[in-house]
Amino acid sequence: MRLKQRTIYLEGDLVYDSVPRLYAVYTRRLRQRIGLRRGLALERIDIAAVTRIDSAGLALIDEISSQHGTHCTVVGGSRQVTEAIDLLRSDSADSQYSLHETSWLERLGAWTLRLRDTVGSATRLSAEVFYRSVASLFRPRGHKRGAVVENLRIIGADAVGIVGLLSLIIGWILALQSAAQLRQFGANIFVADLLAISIVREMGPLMTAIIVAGRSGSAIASEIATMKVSDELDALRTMGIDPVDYVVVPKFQAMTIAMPLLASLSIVIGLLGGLIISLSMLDLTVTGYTDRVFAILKLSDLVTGLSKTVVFAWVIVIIGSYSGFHVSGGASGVGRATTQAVVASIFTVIVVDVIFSFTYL
Amino acid sequence: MARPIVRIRDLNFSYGDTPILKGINAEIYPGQITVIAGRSGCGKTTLLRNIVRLEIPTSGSIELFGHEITSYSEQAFGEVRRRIGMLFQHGALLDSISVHDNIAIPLEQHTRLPPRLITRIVDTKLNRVGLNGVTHLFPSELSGGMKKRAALARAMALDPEILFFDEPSAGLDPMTSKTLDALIIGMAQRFGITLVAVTHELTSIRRIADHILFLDDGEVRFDGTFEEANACCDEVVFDFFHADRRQGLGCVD
Repeated sequence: MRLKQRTIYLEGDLVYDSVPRLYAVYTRRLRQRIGLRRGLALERIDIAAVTRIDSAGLALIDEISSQHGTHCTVVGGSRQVTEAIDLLRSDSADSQYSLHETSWLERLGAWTLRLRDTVGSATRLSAEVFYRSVASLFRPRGHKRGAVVENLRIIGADAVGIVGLLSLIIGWILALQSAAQLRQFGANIFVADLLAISIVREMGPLMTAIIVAGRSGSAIASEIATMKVSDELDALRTMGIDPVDYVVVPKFQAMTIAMPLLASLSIVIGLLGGLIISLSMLDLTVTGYTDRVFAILKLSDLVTGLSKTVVFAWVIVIIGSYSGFHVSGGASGVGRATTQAVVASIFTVIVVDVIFSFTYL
Repeated sequence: MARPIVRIRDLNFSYGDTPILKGINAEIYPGQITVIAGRSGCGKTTLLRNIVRLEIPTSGSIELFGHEITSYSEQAFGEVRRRIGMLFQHGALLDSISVHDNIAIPLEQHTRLPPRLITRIVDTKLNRVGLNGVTHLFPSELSGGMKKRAALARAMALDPEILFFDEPSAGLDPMTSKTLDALIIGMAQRFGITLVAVTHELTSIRRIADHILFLDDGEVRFDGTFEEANACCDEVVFDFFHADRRQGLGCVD
């Protein structure tokens, strides 16, 4: 490849194996020389000495000529090479699928409309799930027999171990951290107060919700998404079975029962964890600890704590199933839906928690 | 006649204890469109998968471009693989990346071309299959016919000498299937690419085939042109090639 009097001469094989090297020569040396000398526009690409050409060679010629304006022409070229170029460049007879490019304004508009649709259909889905879940209590139909119990086991019983373990550890951590501060004032006994309030009102429900969102929210999303991708949902519909009834309602009911139970477990074990630390490291007695716990806690604390777990449960099921129902695009779509479900439900759970905290201070 | 580009000798292949291909002998010549036909389950897709080394034969030999590939390691086969392209039944585009990136995969993996040139080649290939302006879309946003075209563009990315098609017209409407067939014939005639298609669609076979290999229960039952197949007196071959004739139904008891 050389440059002489406004002409680039290409020679030899212009094929996949040689083009990367030729392009490097062009970008490192020739392009600069053409650019440096003002008034030296590239006029011709001479391919008379080219012996073979393939797609890569054609791309090289097109790239070079496009970088030097419209006046650059390709000259020379044996009959064989010219024919090859014509073939490679030829359009298919029917270019029936040409889509136009979209501008940023169009994309912004499309995004806004999508957002509106998302909010709209998520709201519709929640309304439908609520209605059908309540309705199915009085008139069970459209779901597998024993599905609620089955889901209770999967969402609730199977999660007992991990919820219990994490709650115990959280209890320890809270006790140790608060003791480190309170001890300075000789106020060890208030560790019990602090633990009781924080675990019952916040940590127990929130930890449980996050674990359940990670375990079951993702499972719901991926299950429904897979069913959607493999047309199982449509199959249900054609059999006259509503997918919401069949798939979502049992999970919704199971979750509504399981979540407060798991949160109660989390609270009890969290407090137990605090007790262990208090006994072993803070010189408190069992009765001292339990007395303080029961003295400081009001029934309303427990009620708020547990009632918000029910709302968390609904958030997780609805976001999980929404992501599942609105999956697009095969295997990777299922992955995206699952991730989206977990992230969105943890986020929403925390937002809901803030609202509860403001409302019941 | 020119040297065969694919030569198969006494090829046997079994899944576990089930023999699928039983002593296949066949030759495929350059520049022709060869159709591997047969009823469902006769082993035609398996034969194709053996030729492109997605399956390793139990015994026998397969020569591609004169290379005996059955004894090749995966690495040694890499050189040969660059010279062949394969279009899968449903396109097999990777779902998680755009159409452009799908077609760029072989270019990025097998050449050292800079991204600018790769994009140019991708555009040329898409243009070639009549698919403009979809580069930034994802496979899930394309219709079945468009997916196949995009997959064809990917199979052609490295200017292969042989293209293999598994059921090119599966799941396509007659019109789309016809355009795809036209594209296939155009490629063979104008580019001189050798094409090997597995299909059982009679209409499609009638349109594209220069050479037919008819398999029945893992054996080659017929090897010849479409006209010869049509005139063939062998019961199985006759039934297959006349299956769409109304009067043929009368023979069934």
